[in-house]
This record gives sequence, C-alpha cells and structure tokens, in this order.
Amino acid sequence: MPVHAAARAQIEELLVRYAHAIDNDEIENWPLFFAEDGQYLVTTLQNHAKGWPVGIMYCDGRGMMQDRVTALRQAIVFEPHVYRHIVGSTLTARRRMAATPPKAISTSCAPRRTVPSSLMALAATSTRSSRNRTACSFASAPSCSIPLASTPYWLSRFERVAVIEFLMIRGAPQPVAPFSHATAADGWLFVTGQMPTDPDDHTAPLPVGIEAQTRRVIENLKLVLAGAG
Amino acid sequence: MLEGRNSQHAWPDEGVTRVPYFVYEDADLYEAEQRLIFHGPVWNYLGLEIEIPSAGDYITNYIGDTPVIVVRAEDGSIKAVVNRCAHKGSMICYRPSGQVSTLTCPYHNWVYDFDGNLKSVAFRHGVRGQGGMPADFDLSAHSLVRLEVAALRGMIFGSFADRVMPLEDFLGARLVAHVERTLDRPYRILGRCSQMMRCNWKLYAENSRDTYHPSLLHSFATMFRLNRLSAEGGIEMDEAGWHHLVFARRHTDKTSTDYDAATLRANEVGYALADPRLIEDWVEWDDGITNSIMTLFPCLNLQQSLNTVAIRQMVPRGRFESELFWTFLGFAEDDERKTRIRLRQSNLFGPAGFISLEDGAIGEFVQRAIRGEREQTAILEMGGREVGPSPKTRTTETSVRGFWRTYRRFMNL
Repeated sequence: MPVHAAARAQIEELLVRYAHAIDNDEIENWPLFFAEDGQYLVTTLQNHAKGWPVGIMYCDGRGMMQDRVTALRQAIVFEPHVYRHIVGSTLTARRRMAATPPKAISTSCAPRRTVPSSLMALAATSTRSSRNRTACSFASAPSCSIPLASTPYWLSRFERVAVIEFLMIRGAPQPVAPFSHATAADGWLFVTGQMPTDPDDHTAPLPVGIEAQTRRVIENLKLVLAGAG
Repeated sequence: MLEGRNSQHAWPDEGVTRVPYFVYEDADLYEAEQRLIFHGPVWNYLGLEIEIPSAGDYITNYIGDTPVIVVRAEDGSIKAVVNRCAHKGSMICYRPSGQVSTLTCPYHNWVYDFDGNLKSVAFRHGVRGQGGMPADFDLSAHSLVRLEVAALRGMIFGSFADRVMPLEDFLGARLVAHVERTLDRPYRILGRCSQMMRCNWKLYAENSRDTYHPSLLHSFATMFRLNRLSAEGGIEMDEAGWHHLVFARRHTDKTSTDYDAATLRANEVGYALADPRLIEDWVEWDDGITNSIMTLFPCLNLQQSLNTVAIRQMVPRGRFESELFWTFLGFAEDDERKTRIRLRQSNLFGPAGFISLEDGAIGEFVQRAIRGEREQTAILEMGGREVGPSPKTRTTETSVRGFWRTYRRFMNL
C-alpha cells in the first residue's frame, strides 16, 4: 500500500525544514524537531552492520540534544564552519511496526487526521566529510496519537505548508465535469457544489420540484461529507 | 641511522625541552620513521582477539604506512603478514574484515597459507603445455612478509623486528599490570569509528601524553570536575620511559585552586547540563581511578574515563594527515543499565566527543601555524626539564619529554 501523498509531502517538508534550521545557524531549534524522548544517533556503517551501539553521537532525549547545542555555542573549541545541506528525494515507505515502536523523533504532523502508526520514514543524509565514513541517519516513527490540535514545532514556527488533498468519494454522484467531490487542506474540508443527481445513476431523470431537488442536493452533500470522514 | 643527517635535522642544544617544528613536516624524517620506528624494535597494536574468534577470521590494519593482515590459524594461533602479494604487490585482503580459507590474491590468484607460505600459482604449468612459470620457479622463495605476534589480555601486537624484546618487557611491569587491571573481565566491542586529523601523527602522540592541557583546553571536563588537575592523580612510566600512564581519582577533587578564580577560559563557561545522565557513572575499579590514559610508544592509547573504555590507534597517512581509530569496549557481564551508561558517556569521546573533538582540532591548529618554519621550536618545561614518573601531580610535561627522548633514540636525532 503506497504512502499517502500528503504524508510523503509532510515528511519531506520536515527534512527540508530540519536541514534549513542547521544551515541557517538556528541550531537552538534543532532539538525541537524531536519528540521529548526522541533519540539522535550518528554512527558508522560498520557499527550499524555489526549491531554495535556506540557510534559518533548518541543523544537519548531532547535534553542531551540541548546540551550538544549549549556545548557547541559556549564551551567547545573547534574550527568554525557552516553547513549547506542538499536534500535529495526521500524514500518514504510503510513498515510494519514491532509491538513496541522504537523511540525516535516524531514526524507526526497531521492537520486533518492522525498519521498511521505503521508509517516510518527513513532518511539518510551524508555528513560533511565522507572520509569519516560516517553515515548520518535518523529514523522517525510517528506516534499514532498526535491529535489535530498539536501542531508540531516545525510547522508552527514557519509559514504553514499547504498540503492539499483532492478527494473522490465512492458512492457520491458522478460529477458533471472533472471536479473533485471535496478538497482537504490544513484541517479544512472544502466541498464542491452538488447537483440533485441520482448517486446510483447520473443519467436518471432529476426529481421533480424544488423541494425534492433540494433534498437530493443535501443528501448528496451528506454522502460527500461522510465519505471524507 | 638516519641517512643524510646534517644541520638541517639538528636538534636544539636544550634537548627534550625543545621540539623543532620541522619534525612535523620533514619528508626525510617521515620516511625514516617508517623504517626506524614502525618497522623497528617496537610492538604495534593490530587489533583484538575477539574480532577473529574462529579459524580463517581476519582483520586488516596498518603499521605506519604498511598494510597488515591479522588472521586466526586452524590451530587457534594468530598470524600477521604484510597485506601485499609477493607477485605484483597487490593488496590481498581488500575488505576490512572477513573469513577466508587461504590468503588469495585477487590479481593473479597466487594462494598463500596463513603463515604466508606460497602454496600455488595460477597457470604455473601453463595452459595445454604452453606458457607457465620456469621449471625452477620456487614457491618457497616467495612468501608474504611475516610479523612477530604477541598478545596481552586479547590485545594483539605485531612487530617487524626479528629481535624485538618480549611484549611484556617492552611494556614494562607497571603498564602490563594496568592493561590487566583495565581489561580485567571478558569484554566486547561496543563500537568503532575513525577520524581524519590534518596533522602529523606525532602531534597527536604528544597530545595524548600531555597531562597539562586537558583541564585548560577541555572546558567540559573542568566544569563537571571530570579531570581537573586538583584531583588526586599522577603519572607513572615504564623504566625506559617509552610509555606512560596518567591517572586521576575524580572524587578527591575538593580543593580550591586557580580553577575557582574564574581566570581560566574553561571556567568562564559555567553552564549546567540539561540532562546530567550524560556523566552518570559508577566507580568500577577497586583502585578508585576514574580516569586513566595509557600511551604506548609509538602511538597507541588505552583509555578508561569514568566507565568509558577505549583503544585509540593512530595511523600516519602521510606527513600532514593521520587517521585515529577508536574502539569502544564494554564488558560481557554488563546489564542493560550499564551498557546504557557507557553509551551516554561515549558522547565525551570519539570524533564528536565533548572532550576529544578539541584534541582533533588542536593538532591542525599547530600544523597550520608551523608551516615551513625551520628555526622555531616548541617549549616543554612545565614540571621541570627531566623525564620521569610524577606520582603526585599531572601539572607537568614529563611524558611529552619522554616521548621525544624515545623518538630521538630511535631516530638517532
């Protein structure tokens, strides 16, 4: 089953915003891309293959990420440098989750409904120096219980992303032109106007009289709303 | 002997309290180090026995510039040979590790046993009676270059020298005891990584012997009293002064010193950890030592900092670059909680460690600043002008002087 285009777009948006925060020297915001108990792990390909836990960096929870930022800003002596990430396309795939989902950063961003718990996005970006033979990856396992109102940091801080879903509803009348039955965006559902068409047979004669036709239009709108959830 | 020894390579009259900057740049010295030190009468670290548990398991490593294969033989013994075919010089094992039944060169299929004896040559007798090696071609005259091998607590060492002293004598009783103390239980690898440093290998060899810098350069260590010079600690050495061991007991650090005068950069920072679990630890060894760094000549460290146990091996990659290989260890008996503590503490070390990343930067700061300088020298007078153990204080450069005294003897400088 393919990943919904809206979820894919949101995951890619997350990755771009994440890279931008680092590139734009807004690293104080970097921990906020993660859930409170999220994990950040930078390791090597060899460690990953061998199942060895110690890599280059290991942050267990947002607090340890904040400590990384504080140390970088205030304590540590290092060669000044800046970053410029080039983010390529991301493989977004469904994966059956284990009984206990791994703790990881949350990409849950579901303006309209919750993201299925089976969704897992894996993104890999290479670090600055490939000679370090370092693979930097973060796994995201969105929790399934992020409610509508909880807009994640990376969406709330920036201009909202208009993720538009065009909906065709099974059982609703055949449109008279190439219209969608409804369009969903940012928590809103926009319903296309309905005719008093018979949902089962759009060639059937229309009901007679304004009252019957109005009733049919209202019933058709109900079909669309029910179908859109 | 260092050929071409002349005024160009003259050591300053002050002796080991001065280090001429040309030693970090000079091409003749780099070439001579390969012969006189890395291929000389020293034991070089090659890996861990637990990495090659079964017959045919191999790992590869480097001694100086020379690639080496370390393999477990059928009888359980460990063999080391140069990773270079006797035919055309190709690398034989081109993967970092693996399992093989013979050492077979990928180029022309010359086959060696684990002792490096040439067993067969492809098309030796030609094809359909045509071609082939001359009739008097002698397999036994074309072996791989063999190394002497010795091990201590599962740490494998190799030597190119025929007449190298036994490993225990090379290390000295004090350092042997410390290896046995640190690796006192069955251990396992928790992780491995390497980092490129844009500096000569000797700058890192000095840095890891420099017991005076940590609390000054590494503000993180000072802030959290991980390694302040006011804690009880000192330096021990082998009798020859080739290797050294610095140790400290963190929990003894109660005195007031310059650290509290807020004049040190390291002290000005003054931040608190959002998540103090980073430095959660337990006193793991009966001697109460919370930090010990053992450095072996020429360039190996065995480190125990809190509950982090790590082996650091420096491999020169030319005059101006080096690769530092980290191997983090845990113990077989560790439960989930102890492993988690070691995992969190590992953020202090490695290429991105709160403490050790600064050591990665500082070598390059020196290398860039001394470029082309033939006259100037570094000064090593902290703690006096001698080389010797320092049981009561780490505010000294005695170990760094010890490194240079050893280096000069090997290099005839």
